[in-house]
Amino acid sequence: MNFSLYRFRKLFIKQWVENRKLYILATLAIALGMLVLMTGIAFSDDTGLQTGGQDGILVIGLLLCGLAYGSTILKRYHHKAEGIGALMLPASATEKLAVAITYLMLIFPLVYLGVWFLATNTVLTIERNFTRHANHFTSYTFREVLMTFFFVELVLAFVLVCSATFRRYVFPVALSIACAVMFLGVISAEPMMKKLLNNRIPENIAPYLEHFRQEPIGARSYGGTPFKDMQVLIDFRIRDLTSPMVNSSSVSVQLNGGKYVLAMCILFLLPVLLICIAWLKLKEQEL
Amino acid sequence: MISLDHLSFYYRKDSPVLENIHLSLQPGRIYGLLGRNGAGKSSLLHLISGLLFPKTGKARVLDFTPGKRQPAFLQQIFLLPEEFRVPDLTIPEFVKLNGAFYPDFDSQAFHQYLEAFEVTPKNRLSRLSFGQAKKVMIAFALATRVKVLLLDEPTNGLDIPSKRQFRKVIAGTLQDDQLMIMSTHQVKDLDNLIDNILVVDESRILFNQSVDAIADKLLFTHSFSLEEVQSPIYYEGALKGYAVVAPNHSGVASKIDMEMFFNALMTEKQQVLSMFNH
Repeated sequence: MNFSLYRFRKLFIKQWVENRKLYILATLAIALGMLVLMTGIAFSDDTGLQTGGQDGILVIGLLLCGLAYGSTILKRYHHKAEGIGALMLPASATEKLAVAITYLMLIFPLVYLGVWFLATNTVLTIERNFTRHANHFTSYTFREVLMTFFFVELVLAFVLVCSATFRRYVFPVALSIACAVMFLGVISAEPMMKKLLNNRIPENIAPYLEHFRQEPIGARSYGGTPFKDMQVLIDFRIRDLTSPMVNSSSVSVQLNGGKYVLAMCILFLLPVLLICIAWLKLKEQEL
Repeated sequence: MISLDHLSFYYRKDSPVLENIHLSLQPGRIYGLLGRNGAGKSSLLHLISGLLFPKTGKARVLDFTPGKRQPAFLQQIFLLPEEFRVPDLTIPEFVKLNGAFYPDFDSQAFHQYLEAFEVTPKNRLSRLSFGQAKKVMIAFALATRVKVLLLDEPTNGLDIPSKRQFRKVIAGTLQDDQLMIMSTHQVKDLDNLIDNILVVDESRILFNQSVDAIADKLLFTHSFSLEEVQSPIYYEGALKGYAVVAPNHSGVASKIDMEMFFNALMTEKQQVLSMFNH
């Protein structure tokens, strides 16, 4: 693998100088869009800009903007007039891809996060001063941050592959494939979780069961995702009674131990695998 | 320096773009790559520069396999395409950003070429006309000081004074360790500029000879009457009489008319080729 920090730095600067106007304008447009959307929610919704709305704008916006930006990042390699200059520039495919990854998978999420943070806090301040809502800034656990980060990186790595593969219509194609994969993910989540649960009572809900003083007799999965948490219905029977009556109670169970590590490894390895595919595509790119 | 061995390329197997190409090109020479539109000139340049990969056969350029596009290889080769898109940068910005990738880039020479082309160096590339931008790109290509310089239709888009400037700049720039291939179908533009003529026709290299060999074998002359010329190979009506290509029996070299030669070769292939195959 041919990698020079000098050439990487030069490519990085070249990418910035050639696109800085676009990047600055796009950042301003995203900031403006967010402010308008959040202010609209703050003043029109009965409950104002709650954490759910903040989360939605963060994740959905990050994914959609990431898909849009990612679909253009390797576009020049497919365009004949630009492709000659881009492919013939004395740098390896690794260096060229590393610059694309740095902009798409590192700088872009950080800039988006920064813009979202500023916009959210600005709108929350306005909301507190001009409405009777008292919403607070959303907070996440380390685990949620990690899971979301890996999920976003997975989607961005996917669009990178699309950008390296398709000559035209990268955005609609990437969006369609992403939607199809997510749909498959949603419909396969239930059987996957059933397999993970295997009708056993999850070990990490023991304190919950003690609280109810009931005897658990089974567990049924009914929602959630295997990568985050699963919604489990625990069936109980009241202790010391021979009554056949069964109560069910819902509980959210997070993956622990080996299963959690496995889920994290999958989420980490999939983007790495996709980056390797993008690298091969770029290396084998012909005019 | 460039060696192509049994090289073939196609997009569809039943219609080859280039077929069984054998070629060995040496440094210190300017090669004129001629051929009709769609003959495969650009594809040949793209194969040499690693932008296309041969379907069969081998290509070696400067001891590299072009298709691998290693940085050490790309630092020694530059392809100026017929059409290009310029970034929205000033000329100094463009040079600073791109020149850094070429270890032997000569900034001083670049400015000299710009001066010869009468292009103001502070201009923004996106505001230049196509011809002006092309002159900047030609100046940049020459200033990279790469070992292999490939110019695809370099005079397309240049006006008549610019073509003269182009010839003037090219004439004094090539070093002994450099090789230049200029592809064109406007053969007149390369008059007095090239050392070797390569002609691509029907997916193959039809002709590969030095200008000296052509001048040795063929006579380019004007005549009032065709009867004055001994066994003419090809002729065209001229202002006064005929422009004629004929076998050179005198042994005295005449000034080659590139367009006449190309037309003679295309219309009388067997006759012209037979003179060079002996």
